[in-house]
Amino acid sequence: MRWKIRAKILEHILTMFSFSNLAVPLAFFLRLVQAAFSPITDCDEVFNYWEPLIYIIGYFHLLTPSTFPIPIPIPIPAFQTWEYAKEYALRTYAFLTPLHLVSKSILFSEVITLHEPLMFYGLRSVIAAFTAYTEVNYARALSTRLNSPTIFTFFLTFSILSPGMFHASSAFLPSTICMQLFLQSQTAYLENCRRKAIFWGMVCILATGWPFVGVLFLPLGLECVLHAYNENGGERANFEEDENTSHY
Amino acid sequence: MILFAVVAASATFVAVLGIDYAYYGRLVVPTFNIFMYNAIGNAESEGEGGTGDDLYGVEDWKFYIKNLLLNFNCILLLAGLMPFACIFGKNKNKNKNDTKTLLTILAPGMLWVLLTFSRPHKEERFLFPVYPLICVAASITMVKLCRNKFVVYVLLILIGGLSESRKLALHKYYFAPLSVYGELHGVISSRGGQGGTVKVCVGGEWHRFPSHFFLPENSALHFLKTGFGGQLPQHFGPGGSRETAMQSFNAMNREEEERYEVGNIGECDYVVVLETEGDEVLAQVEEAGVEFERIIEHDFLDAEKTSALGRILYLPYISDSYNVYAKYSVYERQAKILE
Repeated sequence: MRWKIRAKILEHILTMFSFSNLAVPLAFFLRLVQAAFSPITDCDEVFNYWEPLIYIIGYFHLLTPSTFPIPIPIPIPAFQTWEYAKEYALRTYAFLTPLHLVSKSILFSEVITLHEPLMFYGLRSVIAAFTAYTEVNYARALSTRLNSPTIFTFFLTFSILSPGMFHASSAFLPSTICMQLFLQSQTAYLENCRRKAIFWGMVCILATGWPFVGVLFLPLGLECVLHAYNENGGERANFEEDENTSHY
Repeated sequence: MILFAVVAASATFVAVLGIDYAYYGRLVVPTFNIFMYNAIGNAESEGEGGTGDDLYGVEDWKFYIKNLLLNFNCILLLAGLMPFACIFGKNKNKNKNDTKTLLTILAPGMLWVLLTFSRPHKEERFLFPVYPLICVAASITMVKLCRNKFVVYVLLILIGGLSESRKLALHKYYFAPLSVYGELHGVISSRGGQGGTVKVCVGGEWHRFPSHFFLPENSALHFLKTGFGGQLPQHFGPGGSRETAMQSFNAMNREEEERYEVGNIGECDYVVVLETEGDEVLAQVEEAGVEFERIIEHDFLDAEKTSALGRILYLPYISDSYNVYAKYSVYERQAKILE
């Protein structure tokens, strides 16, 4: 099962690289370089996301069946903000889980220990690489849909050059993850896979702990409803309200 | 399709609920909590008149315009020209479908701008999700308007130059904390454990701490009391968010005195400080005298003494003679050897 998934991912990456000879590997390379050089601009990134991530990684290291669900009482050096207090519970741990799983994967857990700058740069590179992946897919979908190969080049050039994306591409913040998921959703829409687009939208709204991004998906929701309406000859028109408001 | 949307939403919701139940030890929906906190305000703030949205600083709309210009320079201007480009530019592939596609793609950007510009609390990162849309609009302008190859090259060189200069500036001026803590990690690991945890102390520079990935297992960061009067984070207890005991948190950004576990600078093994004039921690370090010795230093921009243009862009060889840098440094306590 695990190998099957890996083979599928590898195949996917290979097909992506074959689209253009130079642009795609270059995009990945430049994103990774930028990830290594960009400063941390927002203290929320550290105290609300990196630090709780360190905590949950350390937590699973110390967890034993006999003391479950509290681990061996060795203090884990990581900071907790008031948003993570049991009383307030403003941040979702679901946001941290994907990167936690990445850190557990063979790539990191056996080579790098938890308290090492290399771990930080490694995880940051994973975020940056995923940004590059979403960007490349988006550029390709956009240029195919609008039938203009130059848009592919212009979009990637602007995106990789801009200092804005220099910050945004590798930050461990809901804003960045929402940007990636938003691009995934739009890519799916451009490729006429409306279900996929809706799925990414739902993940973005419900799993990142930033519900306001729902606004970004209103036009998509409206478009999907109009599409369904046209296909079904008007029968489902009264579902419009449901779809746009259900996730609030 | 609508059924699919409902199923996808419920599946995601249940998964997230499960994860949060595991960590918080009770059924909570943080996504809903944060929505209520920002939109309606929290219970504690009643009577004090603040909602979550304006507790951490209020800016007007010019803040975002400045930010976007810094982050996208000419790309933003090209993006702004898109409507004109669509009307006056070459219309090789003008059909109804393309217009509809573009509208569906770019409308979220407009909605997002309306939403974020109207909220009182503004942060650069709130605009991240629509950054790619700015690039889309700019590339459409390029495709429609620029038939002349010469113009395209000039524009690309201009954008490239400005952007790279800005990125160099960001790296050169603000990367010091990551380099400093990276080196400090090496120093602490090579010294080995001297029993007990190594205390790394920080005062006003707490907000540039690059996370505990940069401190070895046997060390932890501690806060020194400075003029900052807000609420600082605290170390996780073994039970994490399940614990209610030993937690002192408030939702009003009020200072919690318990955070200052280190009362005296003499208890610190290492002190991280940005050496600017009148820094409280630096004064304490100097007062302690020979006890502390500077072991690591890197340049960090002294924003107050550098001109606006110097802060925005960096030109190799030229900028360094005009800009003023402060030392971002680590002091090590020497008395340890005598103990």
